[in-house]
Amino acid sequence: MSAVCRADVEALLRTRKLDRTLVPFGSPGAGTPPAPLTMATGVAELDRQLGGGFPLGQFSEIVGPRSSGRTSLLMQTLAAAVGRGELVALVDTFDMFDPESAAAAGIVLSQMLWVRGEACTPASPLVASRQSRAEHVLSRSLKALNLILQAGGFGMVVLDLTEAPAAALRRVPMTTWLRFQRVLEGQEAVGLILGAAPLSRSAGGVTVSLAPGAGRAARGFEGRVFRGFESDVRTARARLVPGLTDARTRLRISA
Amino acid sequence: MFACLYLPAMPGHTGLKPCATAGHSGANKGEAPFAGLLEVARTFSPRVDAQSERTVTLDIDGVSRLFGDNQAVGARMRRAAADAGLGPVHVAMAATRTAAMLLAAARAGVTVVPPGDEVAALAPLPLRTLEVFSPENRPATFSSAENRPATFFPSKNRPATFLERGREKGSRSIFECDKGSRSVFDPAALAVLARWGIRTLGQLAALPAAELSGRLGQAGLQWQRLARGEDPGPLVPARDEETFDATTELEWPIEDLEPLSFVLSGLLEPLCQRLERRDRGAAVLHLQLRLVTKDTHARQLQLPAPMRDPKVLRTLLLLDLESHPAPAGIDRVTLCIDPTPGRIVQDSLLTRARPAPEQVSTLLARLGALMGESRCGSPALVDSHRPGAFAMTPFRVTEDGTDNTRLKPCATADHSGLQLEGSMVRSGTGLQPCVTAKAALRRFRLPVPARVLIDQGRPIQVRTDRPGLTGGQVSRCAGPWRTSGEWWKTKGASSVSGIEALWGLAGWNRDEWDVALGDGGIYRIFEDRVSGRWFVDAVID
Repeated sequence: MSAVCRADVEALLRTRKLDRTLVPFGSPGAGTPPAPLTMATGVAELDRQLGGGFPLGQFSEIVGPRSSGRTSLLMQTLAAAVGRGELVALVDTFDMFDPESAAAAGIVLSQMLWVRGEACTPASPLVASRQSRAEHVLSRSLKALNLILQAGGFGMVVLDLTEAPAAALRRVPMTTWLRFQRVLEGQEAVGLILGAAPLSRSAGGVTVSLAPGAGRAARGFEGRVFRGFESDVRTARARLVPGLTDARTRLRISA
Repeated sequence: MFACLYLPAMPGHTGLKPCATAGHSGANKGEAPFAGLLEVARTFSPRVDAQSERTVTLDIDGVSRLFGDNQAVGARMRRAAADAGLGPVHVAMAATRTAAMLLAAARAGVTVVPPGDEVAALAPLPLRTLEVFSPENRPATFSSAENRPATFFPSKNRPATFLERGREKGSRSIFECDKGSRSVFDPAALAVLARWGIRTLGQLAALPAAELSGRLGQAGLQWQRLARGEDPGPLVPARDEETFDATTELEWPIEDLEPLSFVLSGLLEPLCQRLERRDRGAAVLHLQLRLVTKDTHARQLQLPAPMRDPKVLRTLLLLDLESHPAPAGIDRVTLCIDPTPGRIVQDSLLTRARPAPEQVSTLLARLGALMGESRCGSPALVDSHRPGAFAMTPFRVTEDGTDNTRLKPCATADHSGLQLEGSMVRSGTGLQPCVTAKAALRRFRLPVPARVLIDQGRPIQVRTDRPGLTGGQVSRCAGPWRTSGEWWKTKGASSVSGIEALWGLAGWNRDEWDVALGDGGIYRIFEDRVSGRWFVDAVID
């Protein structure tokens, strides 16, 4: 009876093209689902923690508060992808990408498509309507992401939403993320979303959460030059490989 | 059977009178006889090869059915040349082009040699007739660049000469041989032959080949073959210049892009078919829109790679017109394509396929229309110590992946160079080592003004008016780190505001601090030493 109900649910999901949300069921007797193809992050420990890296054809997330090391981890991941000969694209919603940091991380800048959004600064004449301005900028970034995904050919496509107001993000329809996922699936590419909180990971993607490590300030601010900080990296969600969930490692970020 | 038209250099008649039938009003004077001779020859046969500035050979097999016997054909050619303003030309017909050329150079009027009688017909000709093949008589386009007359020297802004256009890759003149042709057709060998007492082509043809080769090498043999009327290679017809342009007059003016896209499709599809047939691609697209106001709205698209997909070209044109719309209704559309040799791509099974230039161009055009043309591309570092300085360069994908440079070793972490530290963290899955990455900045493209409280020379509180960046108490700080530069851009201390420095319009002079604030963030702040104002420059993330 339960099998019939499950088949019905799966058929309904398939009809609505939501079958990608299904998770392989590890029932006794069923074969072990094949491990998803992944793209290494360039940080060996994190790759081990993620079962090889970020899964291909899926949207994954790197989330964390400000100064948690999320951008540093993203740079490492982009550098690793470029080092393998991939083209990468970054949709920089609020135009905060720093090419110097990217070059220092090892990214070959000529292999990177950088789409610069618009900085919402106090100098902007629309400062009074910053919220609506942020929504406008976010909307354009989402369109740019869609264009890049539709074009294909990129090994990694990143959408940076770290400074986006939460209210603006909440107004993005859920179907938008589903549409992106539909475009990405089947491509040998990784979709990455950089944000402050989990937002739009696809069913097969993973969420890597970063948090400032304890006592980092004491070690990083010795002397006149800032030396770096530490960050705890946790695999928050990995539905396709449940055993990986909640794995942790510590990332030392040197200035 | 081949015919040769030879335009002799006559005193008082240079043959440089512009030819009415040439149809090249823009051609310089030196090209006029070329164009005239070729036009005359093409009226008799499509298989025409321009051998020199005054010599054109053509294949006349089957022409007698149209114009009568060879003598009649020759007479018609002379009349056509005279009508074209070229003056009296020499016409010779023989079974080989070499024989036809030598006879045409040596004899006025019409000369017809039956097949098989070439050697006998050439035998009485003087040895100097072979000078028609010497480098001085070669077409300027075939000679070395130093020997070219100024009028034939290709310039950047001038279209290729008639011969240059006609010459396809791989075709070659009767003069042209492999590398080292200069030594093969060495005029010095003719001088040696003259010193030996050889006066006619028949005497040269009768010399024993082995002895000649032993004394003069390959050059002697080549001259002997020419003296016997043997062709060094087959005739390779010169192609006429082909232009790729199309125009359409509209019955009703068009103001929207959607109907214009249909018009562009109608123009582009046949043009792209022609490009494909010629193995050409579009290098530059010129679009001219004549408006109802009688003005012309012209756009030019430089394509990063040769393309001939009509859909891609149409999309690129439409995206460009979205950004630069015509100011009035359009009543005539003209499209011109600058052709370039087609792209040859060797794919590999071992490397990842890269997006085609058509895809990248379309994507960049769409992104440019959406975000702004200057906001899409590849970042590039600039030769400056100014904090946050960068440049945007066009994003290009190389076919062979040469830009697919190997990963430069990261400063602190790469695949092999991960620094595994001794500290361990206990988690639900066990102990995990600590790994290192390079810190990245998130820059505020325009630094955020801040209010900073100072105590004993160190910042203790940072506040801003920006939502989401309220600041707080400074828990830790490192600094100051003084940096300055480009002082020569500063006109005077009084005229410099902090904003000018931030935009790169003036030099910078600042003290930087890295501060950890109470909100958990680590920021790079600085004090502009000229204006004394504080700013938040970046987040260390």
